[in-house]
Amino acid sequence: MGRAIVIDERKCTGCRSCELACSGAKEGEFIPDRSRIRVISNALKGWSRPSVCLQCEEPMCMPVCPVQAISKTKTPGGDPLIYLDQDKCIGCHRCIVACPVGAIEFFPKLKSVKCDLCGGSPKCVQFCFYGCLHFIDLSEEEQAKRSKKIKTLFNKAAVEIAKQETYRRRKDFSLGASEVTPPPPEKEKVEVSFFKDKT
Amino acid sequence: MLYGYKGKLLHIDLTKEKTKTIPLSETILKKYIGGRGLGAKLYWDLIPPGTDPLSPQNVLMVLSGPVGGALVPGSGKHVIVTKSPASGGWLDTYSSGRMTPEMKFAGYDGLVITGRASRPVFIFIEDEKVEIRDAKSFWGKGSFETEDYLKEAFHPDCGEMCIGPAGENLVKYACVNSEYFRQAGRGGAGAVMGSKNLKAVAVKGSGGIRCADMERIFALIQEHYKIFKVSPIGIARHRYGTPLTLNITHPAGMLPTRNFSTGQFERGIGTIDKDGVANATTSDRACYGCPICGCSKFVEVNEGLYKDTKLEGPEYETIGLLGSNLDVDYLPSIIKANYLCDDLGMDTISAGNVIGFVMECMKKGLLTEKETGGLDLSFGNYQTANELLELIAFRKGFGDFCADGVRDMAKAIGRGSEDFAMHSKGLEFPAYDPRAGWGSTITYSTTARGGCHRRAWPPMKEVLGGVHPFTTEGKGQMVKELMDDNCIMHSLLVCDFQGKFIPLETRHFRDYLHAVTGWDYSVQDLYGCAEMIETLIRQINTREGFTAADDSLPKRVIEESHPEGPTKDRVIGAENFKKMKQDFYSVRGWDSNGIPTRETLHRFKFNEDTTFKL
Repeated sequence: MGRAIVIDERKCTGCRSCELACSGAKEGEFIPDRSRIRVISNALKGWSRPSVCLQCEEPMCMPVCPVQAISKTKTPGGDPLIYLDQDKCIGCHRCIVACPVGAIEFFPKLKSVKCDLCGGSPKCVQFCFYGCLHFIDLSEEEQAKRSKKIKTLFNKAAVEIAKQETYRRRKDFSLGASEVTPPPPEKEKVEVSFFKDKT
Repeated sequence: MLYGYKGKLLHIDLTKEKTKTIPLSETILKKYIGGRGLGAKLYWDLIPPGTDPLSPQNVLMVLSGPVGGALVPGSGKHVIVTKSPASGGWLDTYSSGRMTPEMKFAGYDGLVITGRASRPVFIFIEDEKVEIRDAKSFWGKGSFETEDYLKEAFHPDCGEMCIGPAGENLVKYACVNSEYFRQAGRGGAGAVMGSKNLKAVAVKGSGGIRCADMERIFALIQEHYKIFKVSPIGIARHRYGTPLTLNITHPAGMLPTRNFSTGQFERGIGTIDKDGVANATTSDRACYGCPICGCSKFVEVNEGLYKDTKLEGPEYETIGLLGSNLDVDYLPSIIKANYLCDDLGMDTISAGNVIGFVMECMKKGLLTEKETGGLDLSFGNYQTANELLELIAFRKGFGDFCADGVRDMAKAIGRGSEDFAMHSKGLEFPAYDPRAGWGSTITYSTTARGGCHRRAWPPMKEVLGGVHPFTTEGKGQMVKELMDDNCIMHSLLVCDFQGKFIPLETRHFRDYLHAVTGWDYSVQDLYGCAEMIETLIRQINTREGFTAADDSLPKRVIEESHPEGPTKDRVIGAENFKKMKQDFYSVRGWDSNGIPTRETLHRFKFNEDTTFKL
C-alpha cells in the first residue's frame, strides 16, 4: 500500500501552477526553473503535461550513484519514495543521465534534486485545481501493475535513448575520449628520395 | 528588501543600441503599485504631449505588477503602455504569458523601449545580458513562426512577445502576441513595435520571485479555491470559457449583430455560442500561473473549408465581432478568422468592426465592388471577409484603406457613414451594445483608450446584477466603482476575470498584495490609488488635447433603437447620454468638460513625486 502521484495529462491546462507551487515550497521563492516537477507543452497543438519522478520500484537512478546517495524508502505516511540525500550527493549527474523520463533536475553548480513527495503531501498536487495531478492510494495489485508498466516503458525508453544518443555522444565526446591516453611517440620518418643517385 | 518587486526597469534605446537600468523607488511603487498605475506615472513623465505614436520618440513600456508570477490567481499578465496610434492618446493593453514572470526572474519590473532600430531586430534579454539581434529574415513572417523560432533559438521556457505583418505594416489595430494565442490586442501597440523595427522581445531570467509571506499566499489560494468551488458563475466560466457570454448578451439584446444594427442573433444559439464552441473543444487551457479559473478552450475544425484549423479560442469578443456582427453563424469560419488575426498580428475586435462597417457600407451602396477591388463583402460572406484580413495586414489593395480603422474610413467615405462607424476615440467597440445596458455608454465614451470593455464591465450589474439597464439613474457612480475595481486589479496586475468569476473582491486582492510585498494597504487605500491613477490617465489625455467632446459615441448608439428584442424602441437620446457622462465626471472630481479640477489634482499630490527621466 502507499500513495503515488498520478497524472491525467488530458486535464493539464499548461498553467504551470505545479512548478510555481513546488519551487515556492522547496526553494522559498517562485522560481519554476528549480521546480522538481516540470511541464512541457506545445501551444499550437494545444497540449501540455507535467513530468515528475515516478518513485519507481526498480529505479534506474539508484544503482548508478557512486556514493549511494539515492535510496528506496517511504514517506512518514508509508508512500514509496526514492530519496536523494543532498548531503551525500557529489554532483556527478549520473542519476540524471540514467533516468529515462528526465525526472531528476540539477541547477547550475548545484547537486541533483528530485521530488521527495513533500514528505507525503505534495504541494504540486495541492495546487493543481484542474484535476491533472492526483495523489492516490494504490492497492498492491495496482502497485504491481504500475511497476510492470514502468518497467516496460523504461525498457522501451532505454532502447530509444540508446538509438538517438549513441551517435550524439560519439560525435560530441569521441574527441575527448581519444585524448584520455597520450598516444605513443610517432616513429621517426625515414627520408625517401625519388631520384637516383647520379654517382 | 523589496518583495514581489525587483525595484528596477530596463531601458533599451533601439536607436543607439544602448541599455541601462532605471531604479524604482519604494515611494513610487507604494503610490502607483505597478501595471496600469506605474504605466500612468511613466507615460506622464516620459511621453511629452504631441508625440507622434509611430515616431522613435514614442515609448513602448512592458510592465508587470507586484503579484505577477507569484501564483496569485490570474497573475500571469503584463501590460503594454504606450501612445496609441488608434486614438492618439493613452493606451494600456494587456496580455498574458511568461513575459511578467521572466522579466522578474531576469531582475526587472518592466521594459522601457525607445527609439527606432536601423533594421528589423529582436531583443533577447538574459538577466543583465541584452542582445539586439538581426530579425530581417523574420520580417513579413507570421507571429506563430516567429514565436516557434524564439522558443527554439532562445529558450523553450522564455517569455516572449512579437508582432505579425500587421504590426510591421503599421495597421492601426495591430496587436502584440505573446504565448501564441494571447494578445495585447487593442489600440495598435503592434504598430508601435513595428514603427520601432522591433519584431520581438524574448526574456529569460535565472532568478526567482521572493515574497514576504509565502505560506500566506498558499493559504489564500486554497481559501479562494473553496469560494470558486461553490460559485455557479465560476464553474460555468471554467466549463465554457468566454463563449458563455454570448448566451448572456443575446437574450439581453446586447450582442452586436450586422454592424450593431440589432442586438440579437438567433442563428448563433447552438452554433457559435457556448455549445457550439464546446462541441469543437479538444482541451482546456489556462494562462501562465493561473491556478483557479483558467478559461481557455482549445478547438479544432474537423471538416469543411477550414478543416484542421487548430486554435486556442475563439473568445466571446471574437465570436461577437467576427461572427454575429458579420452575420456569420459558421463557427469554423470564426475559428479561421481568429487564427488569421492572431498569426497576422491583428486585433479581432477592431478587425470585426472594420469588416462589419464595410459590409454595411456595401449594403447601403456607399462602397461598391469597384472600391473594394472586386471583393463582395456582403453580410454573411465569411470567405471574402477572411480574404480581406490578409489584405489588411499587408496593406494590399482595399486592405490598405481598411488598415486605419473605422474612424478614418468613415471620414474618407462620409455620406453619413460616421453614424454607424462604431468607435470611440478611434478605438472600435467590443461586443456589448450599449443600448442594452446604458452603463456601457459611459465606459465606451469616457475611457482614455477609447471604446473598451476592460475598464469596467457594466453587464455584470445591468444584466447579471439586477440593476435596471435602461435608466441613467446611478450609472455614473456604478461605472466609477466598477472602473476602480478593475483599476486595482490592473495595477496589481491580475486578470479581472478572477474578480468576477471566482469571485474575489478588493479585500482579497489586498490580502495577496500584503502577502507578496509585505506592504499593508487598506481597501480604502487601494480605492484611493485607483481614483488617483484614473485621474492621472485622464490628465494625460487632457494634456494631449482631449476634451469632453471626444468622449463621444456614434449616432447609432445615441439615436437609433433596435428593431427587436428587449431593446426594441428604446432610444438612449443625447440628453440621457450627456447626463450620465456629467454624473460620471462629477463623481470622479472632474469638471463639466471632463477635466480634473484643481482640488482633485491637489488631493493626489502629483507635484510631490520625483520625475522619471531617460
